[in-house]
Amino acid sequence: MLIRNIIEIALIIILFIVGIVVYLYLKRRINDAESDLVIRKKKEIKEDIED
Amino acid sequence: MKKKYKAMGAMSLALTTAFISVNGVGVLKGNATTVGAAYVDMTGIQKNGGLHGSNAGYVETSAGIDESNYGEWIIEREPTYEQDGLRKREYVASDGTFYVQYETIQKLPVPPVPIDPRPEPTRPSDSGEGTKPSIPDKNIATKSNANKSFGHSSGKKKRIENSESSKKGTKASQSGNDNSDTKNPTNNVEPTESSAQKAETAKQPENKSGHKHKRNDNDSVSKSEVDKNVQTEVNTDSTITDNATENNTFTSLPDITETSTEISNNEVINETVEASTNADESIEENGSTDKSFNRYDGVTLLAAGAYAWWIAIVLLPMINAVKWINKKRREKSRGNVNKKYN
Repeated sequence: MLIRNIIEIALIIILFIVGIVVYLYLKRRINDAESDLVIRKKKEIKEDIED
Repeated sequence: MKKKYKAMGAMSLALTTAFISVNGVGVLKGNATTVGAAYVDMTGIQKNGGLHGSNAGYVETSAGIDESNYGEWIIEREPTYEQDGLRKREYVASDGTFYVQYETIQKLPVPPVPIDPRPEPTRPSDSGEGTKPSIPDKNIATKSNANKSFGHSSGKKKRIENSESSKKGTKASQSGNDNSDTKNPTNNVEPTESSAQKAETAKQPENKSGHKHKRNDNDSVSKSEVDKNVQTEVNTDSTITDNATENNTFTSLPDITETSTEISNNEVINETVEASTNADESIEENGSTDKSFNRYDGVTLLAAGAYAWWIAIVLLPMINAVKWINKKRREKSRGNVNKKYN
């Protein structure tokens, strides 16, 4: 195999890895946003309990 | 235009740029010069004997072919005192066309021959060089080498016009013999010398295109006639000398020269045959090392295209969604300061 082809395939593999990492990160953020869970601060939770 | 398509265009442009930068500009520059023959003789080689009259199917003008693409000169035959050398260089185009450029190398200049009617006892066979004897003090070796070729007198006359300079050299080299002939009362040498002179003029290069196969065959065909001329010439020269041993050495000298030249011609023929049989192999080898589009390039290009589409369809909408989510979070944390919707 030529070194030119090795460089091409290595570049494509690196791009694939970067794309997969970005995809997983974005997917997690979107799942958090689409979920029904609400992130509340601890102070608000205590106030609600005291009330 | 939507952002998605802008991103696709930018991605395609980036991939194209990367591909060209990796593969080189030669991918885009297609060589449109195609020829009908696999082998192209650009400058041509020496034609002798007139047997190979036309090679129109193999000759092409050099228009459209860069001279710098050719590789190094490969010397196929070293020039000798009596025979021109031959060198070639090759070039495999991007479309697979195999170009071969031949060029003749001028034969070595004959060293000045001392004018001495009496040959000295030292002979080139004593020098130990074997196949290539040096030029002896008497011109017999020069004559025998001159008689190495070629064909018939009709073919020679055509070539005499193109070899005026070679005639001068021939005359100069035979001036020693002329002096020795003045002592010969019978003058039997002259007709033999004229035939030798014709043969030598026919041997000179013409800078015409041709192929080695035919030329070498012609050499071998005419060699028998040449041997006869050399033999008669040696016998006439032996009348000059009184020493019988010297005569024997003279008669053995042309045989050595002829065998050496015959061996060299056979080597050239063998090299030519090998070159023609290994042509496809050399094309394949050069094709693997050049910048042609191979299967790895195809796989890489396919993967890059699929990756670009995946980015455009999947990843970019996700990025836009995350941007929108962050925007909403900031608005919420700031208490919805967007004045437009207040």
